[in-house]
Amino acid sequence: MLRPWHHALHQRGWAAPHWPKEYGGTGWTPMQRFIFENECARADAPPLSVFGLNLVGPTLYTFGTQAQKARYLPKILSGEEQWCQGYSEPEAGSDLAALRTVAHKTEDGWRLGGQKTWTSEAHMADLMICLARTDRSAKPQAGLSLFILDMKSPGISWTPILTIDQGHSVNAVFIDDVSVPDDALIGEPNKGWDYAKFLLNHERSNNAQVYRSRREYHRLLRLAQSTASSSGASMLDDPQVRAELVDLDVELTALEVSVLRTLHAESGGGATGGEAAILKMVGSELQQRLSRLSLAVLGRAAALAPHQPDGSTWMDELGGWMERHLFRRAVTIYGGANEIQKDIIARTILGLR
Amino acid sequence: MSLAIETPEELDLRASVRRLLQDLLGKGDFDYGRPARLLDAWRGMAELGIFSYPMPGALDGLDGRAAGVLALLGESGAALAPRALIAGVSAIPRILRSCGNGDLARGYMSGEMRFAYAQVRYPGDTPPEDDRAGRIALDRQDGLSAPPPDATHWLIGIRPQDPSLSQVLCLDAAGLASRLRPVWLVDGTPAAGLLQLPAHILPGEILERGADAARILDDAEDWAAAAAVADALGAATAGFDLTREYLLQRHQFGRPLSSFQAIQHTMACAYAQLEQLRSMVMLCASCLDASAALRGYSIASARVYLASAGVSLLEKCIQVSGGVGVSDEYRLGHYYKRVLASCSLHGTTQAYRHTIDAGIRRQLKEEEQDEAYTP
Repeated sequence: MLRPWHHALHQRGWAAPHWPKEYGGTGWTPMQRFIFENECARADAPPLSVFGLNLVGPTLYTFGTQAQKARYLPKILSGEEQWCQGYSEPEAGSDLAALRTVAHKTEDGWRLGGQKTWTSEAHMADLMICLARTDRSAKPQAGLSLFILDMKSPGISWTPILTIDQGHSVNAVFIDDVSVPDDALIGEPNKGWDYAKFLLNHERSNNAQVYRSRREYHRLLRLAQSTASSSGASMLDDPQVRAELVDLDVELTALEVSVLRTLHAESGGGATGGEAAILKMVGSELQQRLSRLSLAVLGRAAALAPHQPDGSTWMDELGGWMERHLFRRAVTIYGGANEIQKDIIARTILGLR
Repeated sequence: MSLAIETPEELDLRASVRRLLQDLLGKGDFDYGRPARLLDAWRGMAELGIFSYPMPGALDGLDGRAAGVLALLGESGAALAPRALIAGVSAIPRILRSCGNGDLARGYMSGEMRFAYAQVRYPGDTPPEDDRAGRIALDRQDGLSAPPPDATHWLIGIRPQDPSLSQVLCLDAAGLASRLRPVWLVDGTPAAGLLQLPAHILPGEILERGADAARILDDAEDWAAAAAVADALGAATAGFDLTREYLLQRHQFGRPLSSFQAIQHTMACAYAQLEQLRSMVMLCASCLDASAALRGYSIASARVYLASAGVSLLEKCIQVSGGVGVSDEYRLGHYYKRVLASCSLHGTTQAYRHTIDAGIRRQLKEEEQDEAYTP
């Protein structure tokens, strides 16, 4: 379902609205981008994979060579090649600079070894953007470099990690003596941390996931309307549910305006500072509150597992809420745990040390 | 979307307002009991053009934008300036511009005419018996106003249940003196409750009546409600900045409070709330000239957010400040009380929550009619 949708968007030139026009972006105004994303969410269009479009693309058109741009950007835009992000490791989660994957210089390229974990979509990816240590003598952040790995390379294997929603989206990836050519290095050696930091603040508005949350909110309204409480009345008339729906609506509105502010700041080239961290923190917590309220609305049905022993699926709509709720425990963890976002806000923006 | 005042003239005005408020009110000066000084401040603001800014060019005003008005109110909140400024640059100019009375407009802009503003709502079409007996209930907020120093006039909106019976009155303050009850608001602002309307209103005292009056008063109250959020944002920003500075200076356990992660995270959360509140004020600025429905819903959202996150962020600031945060001589508590007062004036939080709730239900009905939506 995702590939045809990606293809359709690409045909219209809409696959990467946030990219510069010279690389295939749309040149839209912030409001146009906001409307586009809202309409996609309203129509329940599947979100495109963020790794190629939001992570690798901006890295390559900012720091990559002409050859890398020509080789990779068109296939990211078209969706022909899917990417995953090789950052986290068993001993390097929030403390990313502690990563142990190493890359040694060889005569005709580099040789990499190590293990990545919590690697989203690795099982579907053609390529990985991989952060590896290239200088052990330097400070932890200073000796890292970014590489492009072909996931079909000899020495790369992966194993699924099931998440608590019983889904398979993340993996452990093993990198065992994998050789890559010189042009697999992005930018300069030992600058990987700078590039990763650049990306933390790139496409900041995406961090909020506000379009999807607004759609989810509408869906929740419908669920509350169609679900009876123990008194027989609609859950939409339950005072607690009503109060929480009002709060969520207001906070979604605040987040939507904040996203628009950020889009304006991005389009003007001016950084207003800290948007990524704020949007990530607020947006992810709202996602969790939405799904938590859905469980309150579902009532007793929320106790039932989505998949039953006889093979039946417990009412798709209800099961979907529980699966989403379980998976959403991850949204305040991935992409930099919210505790890290608070550290960034406090130290970088507020100067609290 | 920007709250920034963009033209050089507007930037000058804002900077001048900030200097004037600091000069006249000073930091740590909460003495609202010195009316002469406040009157000087009011006249000084008139000279700067604050009251001309929101008025239309046709009445010799400066045609200021909504964003500019709200930005000025941010300065007012940060300076803990007289609360009368909130209605003074929002509801009052909206009424005066709609009624088109040149004499009143000129008097207002010069600072020589100083208007108090209040709306009185009746549950029926005539004043209730109690009100006629002289008790317009303060707990309904009816008739409650934070008047400017030495007010010369009261602009009063009469809102019976039937909007076609609405009236906009302009009454001489001297004639109302015996019908007012002086009160203090929680933030120390002097205010007055209008206890009783005069038995006879002269035709010349009625600026507008009927549906036009209702429309003008709705518009004025929306502007006042948005203005209260903007003022509160100014106070909240000042309180947050004060706390940040304090945390950097205050040492406990041999190191600055700012170095403790528990405090850093609390402040990070407060900062996120502050920025979200700023977004809400921007939303108000962008929709004050929009349709009444959109305007009302957006302002209601901002008011509900103010009452939750706006209050909460200053409570966090007080918490991390420790004992000094609850000391009356320290400015932080005064910012907090300023925000608390704003949550309950020009419409209550509960009323705004009802507006959102009704909007949600309306939206559901609209969606049901939209076949593009599938649950």
